[in-house]
Amino acid sequence: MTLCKGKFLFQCLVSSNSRLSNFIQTRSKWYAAQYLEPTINEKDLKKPILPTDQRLFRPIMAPRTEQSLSFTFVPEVQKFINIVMKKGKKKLARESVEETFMKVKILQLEKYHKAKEDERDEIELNPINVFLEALENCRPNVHTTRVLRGGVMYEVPIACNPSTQTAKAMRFLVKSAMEKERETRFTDMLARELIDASNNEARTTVIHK
Amino acid sequence: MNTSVKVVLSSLLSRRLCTRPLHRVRQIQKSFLGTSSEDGSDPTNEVARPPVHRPSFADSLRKAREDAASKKEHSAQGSSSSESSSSSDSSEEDDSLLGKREPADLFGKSAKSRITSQDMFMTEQSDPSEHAMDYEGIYYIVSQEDQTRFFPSFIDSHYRIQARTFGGLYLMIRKPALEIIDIIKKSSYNCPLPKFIVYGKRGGGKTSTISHVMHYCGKQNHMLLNIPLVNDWIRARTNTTPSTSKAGFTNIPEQAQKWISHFAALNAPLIKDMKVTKSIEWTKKEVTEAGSPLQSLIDFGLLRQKYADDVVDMLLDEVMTCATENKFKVLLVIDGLNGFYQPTNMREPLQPQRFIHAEKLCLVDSFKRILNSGNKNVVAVCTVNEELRKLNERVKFTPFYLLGKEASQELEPFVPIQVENFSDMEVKNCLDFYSQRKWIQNSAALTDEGRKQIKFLTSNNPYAVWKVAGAY
Repeated sequence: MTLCKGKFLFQCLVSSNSRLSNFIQTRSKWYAAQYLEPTINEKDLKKPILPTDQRLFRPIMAPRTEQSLSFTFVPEVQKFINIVMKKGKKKLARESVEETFMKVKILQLEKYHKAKEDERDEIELNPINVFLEALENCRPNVHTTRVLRGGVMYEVPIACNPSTQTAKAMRFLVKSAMEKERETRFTDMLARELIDASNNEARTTVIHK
Repeated sequence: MNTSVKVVLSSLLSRRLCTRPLHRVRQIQKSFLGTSSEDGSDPTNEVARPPVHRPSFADSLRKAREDAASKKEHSAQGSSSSESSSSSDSSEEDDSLLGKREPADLFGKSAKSRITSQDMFMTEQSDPSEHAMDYEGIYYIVSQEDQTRFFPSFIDSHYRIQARTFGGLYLMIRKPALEIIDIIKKSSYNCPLPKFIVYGKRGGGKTSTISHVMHYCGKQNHMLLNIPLVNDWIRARTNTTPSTSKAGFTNIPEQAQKWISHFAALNAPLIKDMKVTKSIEWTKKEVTEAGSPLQSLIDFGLLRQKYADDVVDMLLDEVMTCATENKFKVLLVIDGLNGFYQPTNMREPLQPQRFIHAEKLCLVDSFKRILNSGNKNVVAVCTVNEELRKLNERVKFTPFYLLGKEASQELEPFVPIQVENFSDMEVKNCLDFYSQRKWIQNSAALTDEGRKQIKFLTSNNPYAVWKVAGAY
């Protein structure tokens, strides 16, 4: 919140004062380009630092509130929470994502108890692995951009970056879970969608590949 | 310029200064090179403290007894070490605690006999009448027959989900439930029995203690009068009609029908022999005569929604008359007793700007009559829930606060019993049980550091442990 307030104040200041109009903010990040991202992994922290390591000579960002050393921290999941979020209600988004993971686990465990002993090893019980598999399957290879040629807009397909691939895949999942009746819950729908997408059966994987 | 603008500019400048490489280099060298080899300990290690243990009156009594017993033995053996049971977070304490308890042998059973299966956190003893104090903090399974008989539609939706995922209903044997069962065993049913009011924080295990007691009493052929959720009667939007038999009271016929079907499912073998004592004319054609079986009254209540509330009143009367004649004993189980003493969400039919008070509901009035009657052969085990109150009125979770002054005076004398969060041993058993039932999938959560993190995140609250273990 503090960062947001600061940005807002800064924009007000720029709009009112014409002298400071050179400092218009272009990036969404507060930090300059020379800042390094903090190391979150515990194993990397325990390694000895070489004299040529860049962390000795360049400034480092402060870790965000969601980044921690606990076993609950998975970077893809934290990104997914931010995409589920609406109007800055992060607590609600985090709780709903956690609830979906719980429901995934309940559905998979029910399958596990019903299945015969030979088939039990094939069922994936860890919800985070299910989520990561679903992400892999939903990743698009190509996306379109607009190009202006001769006064006409064309939609041209181009290859995806890996970072845009993950962002698009997450958005596909959320969008397909939002298309539901009013009575069913978002978390129920998303849980079913994740399991289907991990088995290459969901609508998202079929359409976007 | 404004002061706020100055502040922004100064913060910008300071951030600029921080980017100088030389200024940072010394700090970085200190933080990385100097400390990395010396202490690789977690920040969570320092923060996670063991929870404060508040001894209740019964607890202190037991402690004093155990101390006395251990002193006698020590004096006989000639050893000098004297220790009572202490709580600290070490993983190997389970064996030592067992060893300490064994010489005391207060409750007739030695500690080793309780563990019949291979796992330390489970017993195969599914009969709750044989659970002694040694069984504290261990899980037991409710057998399939008992599950269909005593928990046809579970007390809570949470337990329904748990039974689906674990493949059976598992309950932890905890101290408050054992205390209640112990008192019920020792007391004589000829005098008016005490009412138990179970209270505690949200997700602390109030409903699990109730269901444990219900399982015990159901095994002893008690009649079970159970209200699964008072919330349905107060908060849910159901049809209301002014009652015909009592002036100034209102009926909620849908909920009354639901309760009748629940009652019939719970006590099917006991209902067979019972007969109606009074004859009542509902209309000119529909009459229940004295001497007809009780099943006909239940069928009439399920058929005619209009008279469902009066049928509940009549059923309770019949049960009480049988109880006074020593035919059977009665257990009254109410989840959320404080809902009886507060205004509901439903509006009055004639004055829509007013809300109905729960005292003016027919169902609530007939149940209150049993609670305050002081009849023999009746035990009441109730909980007090924070959740029935509005968000801004949840200051405490104690019964005197939640019930109010008048209601607590009306209900006296009652026995308040607190359900606390898990102790360290119970958390250890709980996590072991979850890992065996595949509820915990992350292997990092089962290491010592992971366990400490779960304790820190949840503060040993049972429902929070279930949630955190389930999400990751």
